[in-house]
Amino acid sequence: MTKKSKKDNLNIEVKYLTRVEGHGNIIVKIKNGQLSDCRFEVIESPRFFESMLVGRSIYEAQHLTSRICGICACGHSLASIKAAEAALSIKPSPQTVMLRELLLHAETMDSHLLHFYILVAPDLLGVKSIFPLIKTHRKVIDIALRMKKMSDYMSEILAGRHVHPISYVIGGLTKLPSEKNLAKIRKLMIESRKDYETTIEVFGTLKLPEFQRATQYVSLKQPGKYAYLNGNIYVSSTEKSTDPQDYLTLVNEFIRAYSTAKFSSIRDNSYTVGALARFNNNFKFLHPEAKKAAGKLGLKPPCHNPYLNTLAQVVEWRHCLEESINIIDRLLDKGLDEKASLVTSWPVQEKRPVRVNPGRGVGAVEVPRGTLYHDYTVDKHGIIKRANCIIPTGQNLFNLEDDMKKIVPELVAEKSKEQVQLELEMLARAYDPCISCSTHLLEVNFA
Amino acid sequence: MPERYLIAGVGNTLRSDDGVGIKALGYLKERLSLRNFDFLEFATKSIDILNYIKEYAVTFIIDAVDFGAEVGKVKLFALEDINLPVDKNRVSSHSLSLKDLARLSKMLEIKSKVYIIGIQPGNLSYGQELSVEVLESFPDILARIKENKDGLCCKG
Repeated sequence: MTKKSKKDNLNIEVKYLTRVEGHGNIIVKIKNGQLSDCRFEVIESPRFFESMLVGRSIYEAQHLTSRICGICACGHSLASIKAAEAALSIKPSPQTVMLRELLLHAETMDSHLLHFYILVAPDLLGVKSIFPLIKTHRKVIDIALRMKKMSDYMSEILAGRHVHPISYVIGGLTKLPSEKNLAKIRKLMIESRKDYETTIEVFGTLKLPEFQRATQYVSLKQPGKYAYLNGNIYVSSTEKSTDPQDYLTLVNEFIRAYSTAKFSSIRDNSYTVGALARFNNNFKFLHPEAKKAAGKLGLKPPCHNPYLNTLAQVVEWRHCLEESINIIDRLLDKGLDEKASLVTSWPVQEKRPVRVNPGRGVGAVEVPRGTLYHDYTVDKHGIIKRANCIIPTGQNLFNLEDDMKKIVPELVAEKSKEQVQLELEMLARAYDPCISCSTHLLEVNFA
Repeated sequence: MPERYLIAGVGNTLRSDDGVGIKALGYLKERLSLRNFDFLEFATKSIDILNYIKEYAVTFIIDAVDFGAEVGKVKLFALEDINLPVDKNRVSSHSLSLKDLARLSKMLEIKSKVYIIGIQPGNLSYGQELSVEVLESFPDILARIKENKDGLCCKG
């Protein structure tokens, strides 16, 4: 008779996962050598943002939806504006598109930096939070704060305030950044290059767990560009692209009883969005300096290790920096043209209520954690009749659970319970989940 | 150059009284000299505030704080006076608690004086309006800033 090992029965319950935004639990149970339970529970209260939008004017949607997230506020705002412009058949000027790209780059740098330095680095250095690192790695923390300051400043200059952009609206901007301030941002960006090189050295020495599971990588794809603001939805498994207006033919949301966030599938399977998906799908269009950084970090496409999403974020940081410098140079060379972008936040019409052509529009944007969709239907007065938002973290949940199901048997074969738990926490953290954004499951019928 | 002070509003304006820090900024901007005061809508961001407070001798952070008083009551206290045990694992880049901010500020040796002006909220449910009592606290917030802008209040 074979004696059962301790690992024939294992019970891991992480309530709550730390160093992520919001509240989520990791539950893993092995009974008699069989994986009986393996799930990531999202337990945050639903946010009801879609319901809040119904009955409100489409011209205020970007301000409301920017509140979905304090980190991806600009991304939500831009997805909202794009959805509105698609519904109302409005085309922004090339200058406005450049300013939007710049804002999105600022937010991506800001969010990625927080993740790789503040949330992930403690795991890789064997501590529980950044507090111990202030004593042991003070120089690195100072670098992180300095780099953070640059992206914070960008948001203030471009969007009118530190968080929750105010000047980006349907059709353009209510106020343009001054050329003097753009030049200031540019200077800070140039200075950040040095800190970035140190960042590469730091992350080049850190070891992330080995794990391989190929999945469907989904991101926007645009000819000749590493897509963030525009493009079609590209799915690596089919190598096909879909117009964002038809996203519902591709993305299927479904419910799991233990989660207040909806899960998503494509072709009935899990898929992933975010930095690693973009890296795999659009590597060709990365800035050469970002490609060099990827080389130094040993990151090559296609990469099937989800832990390396963090390194893809480090690489994207450099891409966004260099692209931002390019955009500012182009804007300053040509000079900012008020006529090309300046609009009022509400349409100037003699009569109220406002009259628009009724319709439906979808806005898809690559935000730091992946592809974000906003979908609005409006009536002839621009009042939202229906709204749907699909958030990257929700899209990654199914994939995270599939990763957990593959990795748990591999881990328990060779590691202690504590190590298994740590690597599961690191796996979930690698997706950089923004749980509060993702919770919008419950539908409530008020009597 | 005159001494400059930072007033940072914290909170979520879609959660009724939680937005008091942001809403109060408008009132204060009209009553304090822009030559001396900078105003920051900090809303719901977190660790970034460290980069701001270290550039000012004195910072006031205005936020809804539940200290069990009657709705609209205003209380000023110094950041270093927060004396709660810190859960080492719970630091998030997205939501930094005041106690974590206090600890980070101390560990990073930030010398600036930081005051919290806490206003007791009454309603934190979804909504864009403040309770009448919270709205009526604005003059008291202004008075606390004027009284303490030289960083002389409280211990430390």
